[in-house]
Amino acid sequence: MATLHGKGGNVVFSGGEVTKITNWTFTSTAETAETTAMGDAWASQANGMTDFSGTCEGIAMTIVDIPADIGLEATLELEIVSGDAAEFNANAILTSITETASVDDVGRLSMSWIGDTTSITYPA
Amino acid sequence: MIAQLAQSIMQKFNGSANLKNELVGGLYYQRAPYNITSPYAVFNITGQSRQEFMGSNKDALLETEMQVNIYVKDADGGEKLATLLRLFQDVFNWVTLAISGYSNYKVQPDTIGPVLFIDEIWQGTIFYSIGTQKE
Repeated sequence: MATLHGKGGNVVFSGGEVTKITNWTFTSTAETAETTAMGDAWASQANGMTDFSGTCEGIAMTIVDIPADIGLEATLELEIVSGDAAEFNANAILTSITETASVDDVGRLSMSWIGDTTSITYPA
Repeated sequence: MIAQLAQSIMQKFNGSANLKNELVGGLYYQRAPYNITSPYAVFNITGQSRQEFMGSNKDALLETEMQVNIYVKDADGGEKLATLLRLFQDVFNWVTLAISGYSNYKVQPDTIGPVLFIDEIWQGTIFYSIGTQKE
């Protein structure tokens, strides 16, 4: 797979593009249950539930309609290159939207999602 | 965009009666002409940084650093310089400039430099950060 620069990235949630973003993150985790018993030389684990979460940051006053979309469950597309081939695609719930305004900067926005999904599509 | 920014600074200056009347020698970009009348001022752009966004290479936020030097060639010019520093700030601090092709979201005063008296000339400096985005 070729190396891709993040500059061309994009975030689409519920069909709407979140414009003017500066970064997004995708974190996937797996729980484990420890199965170590007395006498074992090394600890052992059993794999458990998997999950993912996503965040993005950008400029405030973007396409997201705050009162309506917080808590919304919809398709989240985190694209490394704008377009469908290089994206993480899954169902997610928008869990937080933070807007900030400061005296010497433009308004900033950050959003977080948590996965509610049976599958995630990965970049090709 | 520096040419457009310099142009909008000059337009703002020319439209400000109080400042223009006090600054008899005028405001110049980069360099003042020879044999200038005192007091006069020169502004220049000292740097520019960008905040890029994903997905587009055209609408980065630009933060441009501008320096304004005000000169008063008068042995007793300290008070006049102080007046000019105040008038300049009255005109430019936190205004919205009309820059052709760009939206301007801030003209932020950063610092006032120390007042100097060198070669019989009083000199004061104001530093600005000017935030713009291509339209």
